[in-house]
This record gives sequence, C-alpha cells and structure tokens, in this order.
Amino acid sequence: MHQFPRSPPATASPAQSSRTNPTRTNNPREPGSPARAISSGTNTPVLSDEPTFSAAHSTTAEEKDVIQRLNKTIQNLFYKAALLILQDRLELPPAYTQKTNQPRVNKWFSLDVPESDVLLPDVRVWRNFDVSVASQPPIMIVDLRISSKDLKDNQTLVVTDEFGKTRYVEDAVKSYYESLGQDFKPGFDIVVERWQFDLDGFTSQFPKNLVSILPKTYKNAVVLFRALFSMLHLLPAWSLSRKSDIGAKSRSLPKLSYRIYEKSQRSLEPGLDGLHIPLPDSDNQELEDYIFETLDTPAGKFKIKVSYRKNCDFQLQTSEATISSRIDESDLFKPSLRRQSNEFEPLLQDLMPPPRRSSRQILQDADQAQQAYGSLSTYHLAGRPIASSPLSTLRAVGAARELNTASPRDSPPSKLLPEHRNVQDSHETPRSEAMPRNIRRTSVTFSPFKSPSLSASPSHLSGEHLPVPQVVPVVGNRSSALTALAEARNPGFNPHTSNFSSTVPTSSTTPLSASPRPTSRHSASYAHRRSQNSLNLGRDDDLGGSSRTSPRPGTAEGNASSGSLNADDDNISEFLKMLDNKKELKSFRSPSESGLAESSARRTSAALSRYSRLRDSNAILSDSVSSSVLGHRSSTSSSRQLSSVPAMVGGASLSTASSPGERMSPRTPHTPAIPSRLSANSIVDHNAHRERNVGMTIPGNEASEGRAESVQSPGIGAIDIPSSPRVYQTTYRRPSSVAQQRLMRFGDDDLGDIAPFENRSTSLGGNREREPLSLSRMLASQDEANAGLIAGPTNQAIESAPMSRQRSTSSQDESGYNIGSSSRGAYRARVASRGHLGRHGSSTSLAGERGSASGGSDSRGGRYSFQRSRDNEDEELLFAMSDFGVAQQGRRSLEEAGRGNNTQT
Amino acid sequence: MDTRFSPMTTTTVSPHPEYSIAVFSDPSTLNAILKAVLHTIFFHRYFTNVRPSTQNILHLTLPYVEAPELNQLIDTRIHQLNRQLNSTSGPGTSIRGGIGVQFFERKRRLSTAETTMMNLFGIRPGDGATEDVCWETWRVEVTLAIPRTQEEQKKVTKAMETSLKRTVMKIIATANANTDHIPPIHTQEINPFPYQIILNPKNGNGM
Repeated sequence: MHQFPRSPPATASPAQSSRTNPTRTNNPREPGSPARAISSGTNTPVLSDEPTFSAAHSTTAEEKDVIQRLNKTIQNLFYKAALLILQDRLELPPAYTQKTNQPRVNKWFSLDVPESDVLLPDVRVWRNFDVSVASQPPIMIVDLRISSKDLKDNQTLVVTDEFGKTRYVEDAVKSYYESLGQDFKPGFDIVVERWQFDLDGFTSQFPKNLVSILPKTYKNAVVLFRALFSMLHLLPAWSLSRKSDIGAKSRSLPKLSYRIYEKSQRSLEPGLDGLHIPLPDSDNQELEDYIFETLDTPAGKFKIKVSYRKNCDFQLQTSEATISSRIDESDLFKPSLRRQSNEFEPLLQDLMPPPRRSSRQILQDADQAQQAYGSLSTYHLAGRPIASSPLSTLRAVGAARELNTASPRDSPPSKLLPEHRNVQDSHETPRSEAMPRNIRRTSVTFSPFKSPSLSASPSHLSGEHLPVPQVVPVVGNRSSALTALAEARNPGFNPHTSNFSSTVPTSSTTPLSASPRPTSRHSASYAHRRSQNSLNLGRDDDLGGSSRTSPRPGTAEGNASSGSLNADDDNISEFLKMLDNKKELKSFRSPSESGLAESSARRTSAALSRYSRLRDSNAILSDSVSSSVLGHRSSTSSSRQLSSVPAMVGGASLSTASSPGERMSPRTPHTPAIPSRLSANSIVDHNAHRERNVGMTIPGNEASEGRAESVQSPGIGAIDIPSSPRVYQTTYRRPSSVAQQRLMRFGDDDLGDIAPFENRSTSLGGNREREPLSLSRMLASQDEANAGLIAGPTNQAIESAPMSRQRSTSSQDESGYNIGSSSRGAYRARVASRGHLGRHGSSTSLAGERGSASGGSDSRGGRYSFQRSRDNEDEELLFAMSDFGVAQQGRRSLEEAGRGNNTQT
Repeated sequence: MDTRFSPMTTTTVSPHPEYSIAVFSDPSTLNAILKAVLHTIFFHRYFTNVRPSTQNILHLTLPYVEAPELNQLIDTRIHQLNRQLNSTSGPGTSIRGGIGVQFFERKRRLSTAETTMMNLFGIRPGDGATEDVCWETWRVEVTLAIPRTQEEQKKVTKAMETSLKRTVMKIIATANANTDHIPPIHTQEINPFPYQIILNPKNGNGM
C-alpha cells in the first residue's frame, strides 16, 4: 500500500502487487518503490491527480498497446540517441532490410538515421527495456575515444593546444599518471566526449490519459533530437569526424572509437578516467558539460548530458615525422645519457678493467652527456625538443660560444649520435618509462648547458646529479624534453646520480686514469665532464667572470660535493688503490716522464709567469678572483675535500689538487652573478670540482702532467700571446670545469675540433679573468677570443697547447701507452690510457710534476698562479688524458715538446 | 477515466512566445549567415521527417532543412532584405534590419451551422473555414557592419563567427527549452505547421 501512495489506484495497487508477485520474478514493486517515491515527489505534471494505472497491471488491450508504445518510445530515446551520435561521429556499417536489401533507416523522432546493427549488442539493455517489468533503466554512457590501440605502429597522436603548442598524448598521459603515483602502462585511452543518458525519476505508474500524453512526448522528443543533432556539430569533437569538412581535410585524424556501457558497470578510479586526463599543458579547464533540456516522459525525465574536451585538435603524426621531430628536439641527447646510465652500473662494478671502451665511446659518452644537457636545456627552455633548445641556447650564448659548443657538438654528435641513439634508445626507453619522476626532474635540472638561462637550477642539478646521463636516457625515451625531464627527475635515477656524483669525482680523476677503470665510471665522468665541457664552453666565458660565476658553482659544487663526498671518498680510496697499483707502472715510466714533467713544469712556470705579467693589468680582477677563490676554498667543503683527497694521493698531487679546489671554490661564489656561461661553468664546476678533485687525486700525475703540459702549452702559447693566455684561461676554467674542458678537448682532439674548444676555453678564461663578468662582456670576450682563436692561430695554439700538454703527459704516460693513433684516436687512446696510466703512473710522476707546477704557480704568485696552476692542472689532467692518447699525443707531444722547449728557451 | 491530457490550447488572439535573435554580419556574408540562422530555426520547428543535413559557414557546421519550398522562401526573403539594406547602407555605417519567422497552427473555424453540417451530414467546411493561429515567432535582428579597412574586416569576420555561434546556440537552447506551446502534431507526412517569413517584423505579437 505504501508503495502506491496515490489514493485512487490505491485499491488497485494492492491487487496489482498481488498479481505481480506471483507472475513476475522481478517484482517491480521493490525496485519500483524508490522510483515511485521519487516520482511522487517530482510528480510529472501528467500524473498529478490523474487516475493512474500500473504498467504491470494493464488490463485492457488499449492500455497494453499504450504501454507498448511507451516502451518503444523509451527504448528509442536511448537507442536513437546513441545511433545518432555514433552515426554522426563514426562510420558505422549500415544495416539492410532482409527482403529488399535496402539500407534500413531509423525514422524515430522524425529524424532519418541509417540503422546499424553493430550497436545492438551494446544497447541491448535499453532496447529491451520494459517499463512494466524493469526498474529504472541504467544510465547509458557513450564514450567517444581515441585509443592507442587504434593507432598504427608508425603513428603518434599529438594534440595542439590553443597556443599552437603540440604535445604528445602518450607523454601527457604518462606524466599525468606519474603525477598521481600510478603506474603507467604504455598506451592510452583518451575520451573526447562522454554522453550520458538517464531516465531519471522513473515510474511505472501512469496516468489514464497516457495515450494522449504520448504524442506530446514524441513531439518534444523530436525537438530534443533536433537539438541533439545540431549540438553534435558544434561540439569540438565534430572536428574529429571524417564527415566533417572542417577538420578532416586539413589534418590526419585519429580514428575514433566508441564504448557504450552502463554507468554502474564502470567505477573508474578518479583521475584515471580517460576523460579527465589533462593533455595540453595549460591551466585552462579542458572539460565542459552541456546539458540538454530535460524531456518529460510518462516514465520519467529523460536527460542528456555531454562532457567534452574543449580541445579536440588531435592529429596523427607518422613515426618518421615524430622521430625526426623528437630527435631534433630531444632524442639526440637522450640516447647517450641512457647509455651512460646503463653502462654505468657495470662500469662501477668493473672499475679496474680499463675499458675497452674505446676513446670513441668515451667521447661519445661525453658527447651524449653534452647532448643530454642540451636536451635538458631544451627542456628548460621550451619543455619540448631538446635539440632545439640547446641550439637556441648556444645561439643565445654568443657566436664565440656557438663556435665552441657547436664544434664539440657538431663534430662528436654527428658521428656519435646516431650510434648512441640506436643503442641508447633501446636501453633508454625502458628506463625512461621505469624512471620515476624525481629522476627526471633531477635530470631536468641538470641540463646545465643552458646554464645561462637555467644557470642556477642546472648548476645544482649538475653538481648533485651526474645523473644527467641518466636523464639523457630518459630523454631518449621519446617524447618531448618534458618527459625526458620528468624521467630525469625520477628518483630512481637518484641512486645513479648519487653514484655518478660519487663516481663522477672519481671519474673526474678517472678521466685521466679513467680509461682503465670502469669504463662506466669513466664514461660517466667523461660524460659529465663533457656535459660540463659544454658548460665549460659557457664557462670559458665564466672564467673571465669566475668571481661572478663562482657563487653558483660554489653552491652547486657544495651541494653536489656534499652529496657525493662520501661516495667520492670511497671512490677515492679505490682510486688510491688503483694508483698504488699503478704507481709502480708509473714509477717505471715515471723517470722519463718525471724528467719531462719537470721540464714541462719549468716551462709552465715560465709561461705562468708570463701570464701573470700579462694579467698584472688585471690585478684587480685577480684580486677579486683570489678572494673568491679563498672564499670558495673555505666555503666549499667539496673543493676542500677534493683537495684533501689529492693530498691523500700524494703531496705533489695535493698541491695541484688544492689549487683546483680553490679555483673551484672561487668560481662557485662568483658564478651566480653571471647567468649564462658562468652559471654553466658553475654547474660544470660542481662536477668538475668533484672530478677535479678526483682527477687531482688520481691524476695527480695527470695534474702534474697537466702542469707540465701547461708549461709547455704556455710556451707554445707564448708564441701566440693571445692564444697562450687563453690556454691558461681554459686551464683555469678547466679546473673548475676541468672535466668538461677535458671532454671538450677530447672531443676536439677526436674530432680535430680541438682548436675551437681550446680557443674558446682560452679566450673565455682570459676574458673572464680580465673582465668583471657581465654576460655581455663575457660573450663579447668569448666572441673575440673565439674569433681570434678560430681565426687561425687559435687552432694552432689550441692544438699546440693541448698537444703540448698532451705531449708532455704523453711523454710520460705515452711512453707506455702511446699508440700512435690519429689525434682523435689519440684522445680516445688517451682516455683509455688515462684510465690506466693516469691512475697508476700519474701518482708518482704527477706528484713530482705537481710539485714543480705548484712551485711554479706559487712563484708566479698569487691567486692567479694558483688558479692557473690549477687550470693547468686541469688541463694537465686533460692533457694527461690526451697524453695517454697515443698517436696524436705522441706526435703532438713531440711537436709540443719542441715548441715548449723553444718557448721555454 | 478518460481525462485527456489537454494539449496546450491555442487561441487566435492569445499571445504567443516570441524570441529575438541577433545576427551580426558584413554585407558579403549576410546571405549565408541569414540562411544558416533561418535553417537552424526551421530545423527545430520543422516536424516533418527529415534526413538531417548540414551546411558549413564560418567554420561552423549548422543544420540544414532539405525542403525546396522552404529554401526558396528563405532565399527570397534574404534577397529582399539585402536590397532593403543596400538601399540604406553606406560605407562605415551599420545598418539594422530584421526578418521574422512565424509558425502557425491551422485550425478550422467552424460556425455552428458548419458544425451541425459536419455532424449530421459529414460535409467538410470549405477553406475559408480554417484559421492559422501563430504560436511562435522568431525575430532575427540583423546588424550589418561595413568594414572599410582590412583590419576592420578581420575584426568583423571574427565577430561574425563568434556571433553566429552564439546565435545558433541560443536558437538550439530556446527551441529545445520551449516546447509546451507547440501545438499537437497530427501528421508526419506533411509539415503540420504553416510558416511565414516576413521582413522587418513589428514588435509584439502582431509582427
């Protein structure tokens, strides 16, 4: 009784209930009761105070007929709506009449729509709905979606936002899932429109005048469906329909698919619904709803609601276009990084085995690292393509930088990149996917190359996380730099990064001796260095503004160093062991080398003195630099530690080590002032410092060699006055960003582009020291330096300087290692040899050399002397590396030696 | 028992809903815009079975009623309005005009004698016995902008697109929300509701 609150039928209701119960398993009363309660509250106008009858108890044929008509109407409200939408959005296969074989047309609601049988299974629930039996029909959901399953292998879905910025959908989905802490599985299912059809306030109690009500319902339904049809073409998703003349002809449209289901069937996790996944990187609300006018029917209120994406500017890109774009933008760098990350672990494990990593690989790594940075930089810039960004940054930096950076990049990348890509891509993609965001972020920060703009963040990142290489892999994953960045940020990388940081310092040392060790570490270190080198390019500028730039580097270094100090210590201890083992070797070799070193040291000292004289004009700057250096030393624990580390290695090494550390520190404090190069340098410095420290410790030999080299180089440089200071400067910078510079040099040597790099470094260094630090000045100085360097002498000078250095070192190390390969090969060889030699023999010979070098620097005096000595040391390290490198080194060393001698004499 | 749902009664005098729609256009696009707007209105009030079709204008896809007579009438009225506007327009001026659309319910107005004749003898009354009662009026108010420069033309074009979409959305919402006054439909074979398209309708139900 209570179920049928209305009085007139009340008498009948009990009877009805009694009837229904026995005859129907689905007692309409129970399910119907709540609906009735609702309907009683919302009473449709038709029902008010009208005599009613229950659909389940229709006795007369007329009532049954009316009920049947009502059923058909309700059924078709659902079905026709779905049919109309899907026929408008999709190409549904037509249905044919059995007899005439003519396409069947659904004429319900005065709208002729071709029938299609493909929908029938999906809409069975609503097409079989019976008001007399069923309770409220389930809410029907029709999703129009773009699924990755519908994309071909060579297709990629992109979405263009209101600003014309294109974004890869899968990347957006991935980042979104990561933001929610959800595991991302490749693929996506983007819902562009969600239609919801509901018969609200369902009732099976109908007025007696139902027959007269139905026409009005039908008439209103006609209007509703006309409005539905009109709206279909005003919604954004219409542009995705191939029937649309607007969007289909201008772009490659993704295939739309549909899904019809009951709302209760799917309990989508909030946020993971394909409709709510944010795609464009904009704060604008992406979804909107449109609610159609409610249609009153005798059985309830029929409601249509559509939630749609405002931006449906989807289109397909072929893999070729995608690959090219991505490669151009970001991929280039990713592969190398990934590779490094992949290689890293094994390398770390196998420190001892001098890698077979060919110098090439190392170079490649370095290149990759640079690229990675570039990618990072790109990320920072646009959040998109990596490649583009680095380029842009380079351009922004200045012609000089461009020359420097371009040469390293161009030369190595062109050769290396492709290979790296292939290898790395395979490796990287998985990682990238697996990589947590944190790592990605870190990687992003790394991008130090862009340092100028990004300077602050990148420096920190770089300092902390060598992970950059890892980041690179991430970038390699695919898509936009953003994803790469995100991946880089992934925490998963952090361990690596930490390792790298720890390893990096070692690697920094390793670079000299690195090759022997763990190619992985070395590679990583190289990578870092190279990345740093790229930074160094910037740094070169920074060098001039070292005081300015120093602040950043100091901070970054401090961070990075602090984080990696422990690991560094471990690594250092390992290195020490290595060195001890190798000392013997060096000792054997050392004698000759030591002699060379001494001679080189003398030369260097002479050169340094010359430079100091030259720089007297810049005394003020030097003062500032010295102060900054002192501050750094005190401030930056890492630098100190590093210096201390070298001390552990050997006294000689210590002096050199200390100098580099000091250099590092000064740079760090000043770095912040200069955004671009300085920042980059600073970043580099961080890594470099570690590396330097390590390198200093390990390569003490190298350092000593480096000094010797520097001496020689100065001698060489002495010939070319401008170039020589530059060389020193480069060395200076190198100390901070020694690794990078080294990398650059290596790359240069390998590529034969050494000259530009050195020029850059030298020019930068000179400029830096002299000039106070404005970016413009830096750039200008760089440009000038580059111009001069590039002009002609630079190459020679550069080559000569490095060559001399290398030669000197090579003379030492090479004695054992000289392979006699081309310059490139020499560098590679150097790397490898460095790994071996640098670590082993360097300790002894280097110590002696360092001592000499230090003495020379001291005699020169001053801060500059220290810095220079350090720079020289850094360069020495690089040179040592080069020295290890065979042929070129040998040749060059001979030549340089000659030159150096000449100069000295 | 037989209490019938009494459909909305229509009386010849009773006021009827009237909706005002604004159209903004330049002279070159006026015809297309007016055509789109009128077809949109008719699409929602043309209760004959139709195979839905569309027309594209200003990056919008709008409904189109495939009814030759209707199309001809629309074209005629638009042409007339154009002539009227052109006669009064000048460069740099904005001109206003209007088109009205009326829908009628055709009723037979029977006298007592006619009713008796029908009841007794089944004689149908003549044509003169019918009466068209307007049950809905749409007023399309046209603002014609005449840009003088290309920049103005760009602005006008953009404004036209925005205005047209807004207008169409309003028509859809209005037509869908106001249905209770629509007379009952007794046939689907022919258009149940006569219509008129007039120029410069007067304010008020009298058009």
